[in-house]
Amino acid sequence: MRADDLELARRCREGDAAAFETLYRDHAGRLFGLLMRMTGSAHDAEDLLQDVFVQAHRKLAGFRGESSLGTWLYRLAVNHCLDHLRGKHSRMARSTDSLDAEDAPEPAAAAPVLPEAIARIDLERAIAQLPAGCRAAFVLHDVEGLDHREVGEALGISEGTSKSQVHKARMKLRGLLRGVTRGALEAV
Amino acid sequence: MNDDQMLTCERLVDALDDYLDGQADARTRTAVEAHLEGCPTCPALLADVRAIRGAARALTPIEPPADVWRRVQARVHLEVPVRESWLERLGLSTRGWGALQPLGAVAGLVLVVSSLAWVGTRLAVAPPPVADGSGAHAEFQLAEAEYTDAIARLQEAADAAGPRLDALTNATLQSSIDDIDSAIGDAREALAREPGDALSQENLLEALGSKVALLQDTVSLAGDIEPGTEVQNP
Repeated sequence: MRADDLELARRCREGDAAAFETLYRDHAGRLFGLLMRMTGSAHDAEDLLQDVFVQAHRKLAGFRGESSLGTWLYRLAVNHCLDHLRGKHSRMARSTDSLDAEDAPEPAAAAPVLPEAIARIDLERAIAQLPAGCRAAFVLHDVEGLDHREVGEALGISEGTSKSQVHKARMKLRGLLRGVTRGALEAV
Repeated sequence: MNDDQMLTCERLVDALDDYLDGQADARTRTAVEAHLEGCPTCPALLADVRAIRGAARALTPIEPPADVWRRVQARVHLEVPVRESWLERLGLSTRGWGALQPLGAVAGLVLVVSSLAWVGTRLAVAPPPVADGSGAHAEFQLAEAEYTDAIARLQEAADAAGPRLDALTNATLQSSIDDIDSAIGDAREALAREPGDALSQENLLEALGSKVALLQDTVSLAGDIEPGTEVQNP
């Protein structure tokens, strides 16, 4: 696997367009999913995906095979996306903070409010409606499978804050998905 | 179980993921289960969190629209032959570093940049190596200082060369310099947040290297032109 990655990276560095397209085809779907869920915007995700592959093309000379190409690209994508979100957050900090502060806690329920199997499309739409801060923590933890320590390192927050952000996201999702039919969410 | 071992609903949140992942220690597991037995709302919460986690983990990749690949291709094709494309777009060819010889003040600088293995390389495919290990930060600082010094000196030469280039060429070069300066600013901001971050260091050196090469091209272009002659764009 690692030898294949090194060979593909070598071909890309030498200007082999087919090799670079292979790299893109192999990884674009996973990275686009990550970027779209992290940003909540297809438009931003498209721009970021372009940037990631252009950056990757520039940086392939530094790829030494210490991790797989997939992991290397994933790290590029997460870092680039977080830079984007930090810039966006700093521009919108006041409004985002006030929106977060206005959220009322979800009422407690005595019985589960969600079906055991949540429709993918419903969940995708609900994730897109989460506030940026807790959405990033949720995507990295619950979708991408990072543990809270890793989420904390990626986002520059403590492990405890990661737990509370992920919990906050889940409670918001619970509210968004509560009794929602696919048609109702599509209309949002 | 005594009061100290009892979990509140709020504290359950901290233990939830370890519990659901089967990684909670025995004491925590017992405390969570005791709380669930006596709490009227947390069992429902647990079931819903389990459903959300399960659905989230099952999310699949999303294929980007086809035109994203076309845009990536276009940007990469523009970037790879950066030096050549600059000269081709301006309808000129380079005579190489000999073009710099009349600019004696720059000659020593070329040696400095050569030592960084950047001269004559394609910018898009040759980022400077950032060494791993304890000496990496010192190497980064040295490289940054050399690039910064090189840029300051090249900028003077490029400013002097500017009047020999036509307005369109100057505008095009300035636009690229602005883009690179923006990238340098972004990298410096990232480093201000995390001074030791290797990727940000690499980004900064790459952007500084791009600026050195573009300023070199500017000076080189002016060296190709007889003083007082304007470049004719195609």
